[in-house]
Formats: sequence, structure tokens, C-alpha cells
Amino acid sequence: MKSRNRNIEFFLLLFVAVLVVAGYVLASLGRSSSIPANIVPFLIGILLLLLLAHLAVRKFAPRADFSLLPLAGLLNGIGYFVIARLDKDLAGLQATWTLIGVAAFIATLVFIPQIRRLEQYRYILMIIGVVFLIMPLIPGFGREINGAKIWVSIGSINFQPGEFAKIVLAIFFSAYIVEKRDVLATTSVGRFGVAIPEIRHLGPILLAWGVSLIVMVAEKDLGSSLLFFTLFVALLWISTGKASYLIMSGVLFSGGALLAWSQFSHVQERVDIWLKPFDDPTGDGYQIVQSSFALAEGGFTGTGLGVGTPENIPAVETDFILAAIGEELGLVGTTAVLTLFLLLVGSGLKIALTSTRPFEKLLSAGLTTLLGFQAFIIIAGVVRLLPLTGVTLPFVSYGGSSLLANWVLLALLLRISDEVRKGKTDENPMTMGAG
Amino acid sequence: MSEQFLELLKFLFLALLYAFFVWVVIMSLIQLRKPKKSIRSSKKDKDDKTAITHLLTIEPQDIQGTEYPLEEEIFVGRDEECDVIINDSFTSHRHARIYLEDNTLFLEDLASTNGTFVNGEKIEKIHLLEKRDRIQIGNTVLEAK
Repeated sequence: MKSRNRNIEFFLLLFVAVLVVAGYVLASLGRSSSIPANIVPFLIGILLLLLLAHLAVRKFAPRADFSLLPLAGLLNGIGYFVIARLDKDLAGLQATWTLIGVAAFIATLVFIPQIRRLEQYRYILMIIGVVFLIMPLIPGFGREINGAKIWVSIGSINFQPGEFAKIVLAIFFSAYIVEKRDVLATTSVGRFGVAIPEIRHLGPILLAWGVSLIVMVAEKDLGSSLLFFTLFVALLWISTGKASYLIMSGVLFSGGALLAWSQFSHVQERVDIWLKPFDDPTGDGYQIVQSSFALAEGGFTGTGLGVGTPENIPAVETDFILAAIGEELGLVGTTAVLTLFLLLVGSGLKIALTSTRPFEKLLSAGLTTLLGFQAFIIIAGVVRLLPLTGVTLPFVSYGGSSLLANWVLLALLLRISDEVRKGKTDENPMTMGAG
Repeated sequence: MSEQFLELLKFLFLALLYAFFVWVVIMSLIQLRKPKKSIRSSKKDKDDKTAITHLLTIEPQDIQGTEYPLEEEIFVGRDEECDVIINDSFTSHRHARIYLEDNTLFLEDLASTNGTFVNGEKIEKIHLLEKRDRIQIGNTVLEAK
């Protein structure tokens, strides 16, 4: 059982390497009709990286789910060959970030042998999370790039602390809700027949959420704000099973969104671009219009890798990477990316469902929510289902902080999965007779 | 490189991508079906009432249905280090222990302040655990399944 999971993972990873190299070669063929010169080192590099991650899982989380690493690896690989096709310099950086990401993945597995230990540090983690969120607002420290104040510069390195804050806060929320679960579940019936827990029990979470919301408005980062809110509501709902939390937060969110829309010009601008991009196709609407053109050009199976012109879309390597995939691999290609996320979320929820301890259950559900919902809001933005809120497509988009954070997130999921299986009866028979 | 050839390669690539998904899904399904099989076969092979594999939470209501798998030795109590953590003031930090000896499960009360009850009766020190025994610790009731 133990090694069987790892053997499946090994062969899936080999398949991933084949797919990524094939995509890389195809993109080069489409662009310059030649096989890339560095194909052999590229192949060796990918194999080594995947093998390293695989061996770390084999050693430090041997019973963990087999699908998470190959799925994330493939997303990372697809992202890489699309970025390599768009911009050679960025591809070099992305390769470095992938290497650092995998190193962080291994380090997380090594240094967090028991997920339960994180539960004890919940309040320290809360403080760290809040500090991460506020960092970009500190003068001289934070930087504004492309209208969002979500960056921090230390020397020549820029990073987005918000990407790490989301993981840290997921741990804090989970631990806190487990601690207060009894009181959160016992509700008093409010005036409108809606069950409301006593406000003092919700205090610290409302505080953490409020801080994150204020900071997000100040940082003009709507996507992350929505992500944090969803995480918080999802965890409350999962832990208590009370649909009233969903209704309550739906109302809260709608109110907040309306207020933000009426008060902030940058929000109004986003909504206008979303509803009427063709009013100003060469100005404000340029990005989303170009993205729509790209998707239309791609059609059902795409123009072929390296054949299209996705370079025309601003921020195509980060927020709009799905439009590039849509142009060159078509609806079939974008559906493949969605399927990868679907499978990843499915595996994550399976871990949550099979987990018996409340903290592990909540945390795995929370981390899965982060991954799936972040993918949802950026994809919805690119295809104009929702207003665009600039977040990265996890594992696929160019971006160091995002890659690093998501690899750490993946390691935590694998760690929980390993612990769940440890408790199951497959290996050492605990099914003993009593008669 | 002719356009048709590139087109063909593109289709091949996409087909390979979806083959990967099919593989992942098939492997997941096989794994999902496996535990069901073992339950069925254990029901056939052994008498249903012999095997105790886990504890099922009966009370309190809000965590009803939570299951704890049994191992060689598990501790029940308020302490965070315990395998089954019961968070109420009637529970001692290390309240009780369930352990396996000679293929038999025993429940031991670890000199707790408020005692451990099985099927409504307070146990002395050690109790031989049987299927469907209801263990009450503080306000929590666990059933041996």
C-alpha cells in the first residue's frame, strides 16, 4: 500500500516529464521550425527536479496521496513551456523559482513532520499572517507595481507577502475554529430566524478578516480580498455545517461589494471594463479585448503551440496565461488546465473527507479552497465571467512568490494525507477479535 | 516543417494530455474501491461482531459521526497529545487508554477524576472492550465499532 502509492506517483511523474518536454519541443517547432538546442539539459533538469521531489515524498510522507505531486508538476510544466514560448528571460527566472519552489516543498516535508504541531502556534501564526498582509503598506518597504500595492522590496528582490499570508492564515483559522467549535456551533436564533453565534466568539476571526479586508482595499488587491473572505466562510461552514453562515456572508459580501463599487474609482473602473470592454478597446479595455480575441482565435483546438500571437495581451505571462493557452491549444487546452485543477481539488477534498482529526480536516479543506478558488477567480476574470481581479493562476502563472507559496501549500496537503493514511487499518491489522 | 505535420503533433499532444487525466482518474477509482472491497470481504470472512476497528462519536451532537481509528495504543483525554481529544471540563488530561494485547482490546481508566463508563456502568481499572460497547467520558459518548 505504502510503496504502491509511490510507484504510481513515479510513473505519473515520468508521464509529466514526457508531456512537458513534448510541449516545449512543439512550441519551439511552431515558432522557429527547429528543435530547441538545450533539449537534453532541459529533459535532464525536469527529470531531476521531479525525481528529487518524488524521493522526498517517498522518504518523508510515504503514505501520501499519489496524484497531488504529478498534477502540480504538470501545471508548473505547462506554465513553464508557455512562458518559455512568450519570453526567454522570464522563463529562465521561472525555472529558478521552480527550483526554489521544489526545495521549499521538500523543506516543508522535512521540517513539519507532524501537522498537529502547527496547531499550537496558532496565535504566533496569526501575527505573522497579519504582518505579511500589512508589509506592503509600510512606507519605503512596500512597492506599487501595476496599480496594486502588494509588493515588498528587500534589496533587489521583490516579493508578494500576501501569497504566504494566505497559507499562514488558513492554518490560524483552522486551529482557531477547532478550538472554538463548540461555541461556534451553538447559535442563538436571531431576529429573522437566522442562527447567529455570539459575537464575542467570532471576535478574533472577524478582527483578522477585517484587517485583511482593510489592507486589501488599501492595497487595491480585490482578488486576494475575495480569496480570504471565501476561505474564512468555507472553513466556518465546513466546521459547523450551518448554512446560515453562507447566507450571512453572502449578504455581507454583496453589501461590501456594492459599497466598494460606489466608493472606489478603481473598483468602478474594473466593473466598467468587465461589462463594456469594447467601449474603449484600445485603452482601458485593451487587455480583456485582446484576451477575448486570443480565445476566439484559438477556437476548439488552438493555433498550435508557438504559432499564435498571445504576446499582444498585456500581463500574458502572469494573470492572462490562460488566454495564451486558449489561443494556442484552444478550448481543449484550457479545459485540460481546468481538469488539472479539478483533479487537484478532488484529491484535496478526498484528504479532508478521509481525515479524522478536526484540525487536519479543516486545514486540508482550507488549503484546497485556496488553490481551487484562486484558480477560479482568475480564470473567471480572463473569460469575463467575473470582473478581473489580478491574482496568479496557481503553479501556471509566472511569479516567484506564488510558485513558492503554492509548493509549500502542496507539501502541507501531502503531509496531512500521509498522516490520514497512517491512521488507517491497511498496514498493521488493528482489527482484533474481542470474543 | 509542414503545417499539417505540426497540426498532427498538436493533436497527439492534446490526446496525450487527456490520456494522463484518464490514468489519474482510473488510479483514483481503483483506490477508492479498494477499502469497500476489504469491508465486504471482512464481513463475509469473519463474524461481524468480532472486529473492532474504530470508535464512533455518538455524543455530543455537533461532532456526532466523527470516527477515530484504533491503533496498538491510543490515549483519550483533554491533552493535545492525545489521539482522541475530548475538550470538556469533566475530562482529565490523560483520561483513558485503549490498547491491544494478545489480539484483544482493553480499555483502561488512567485514574481519571470523573471516571470512565461503559454502557452506563463505571469501570474499575481495566475493561475488556467488546463490539458496540458505549464508552462515556465526560459528556462524550464513543461507540466501539
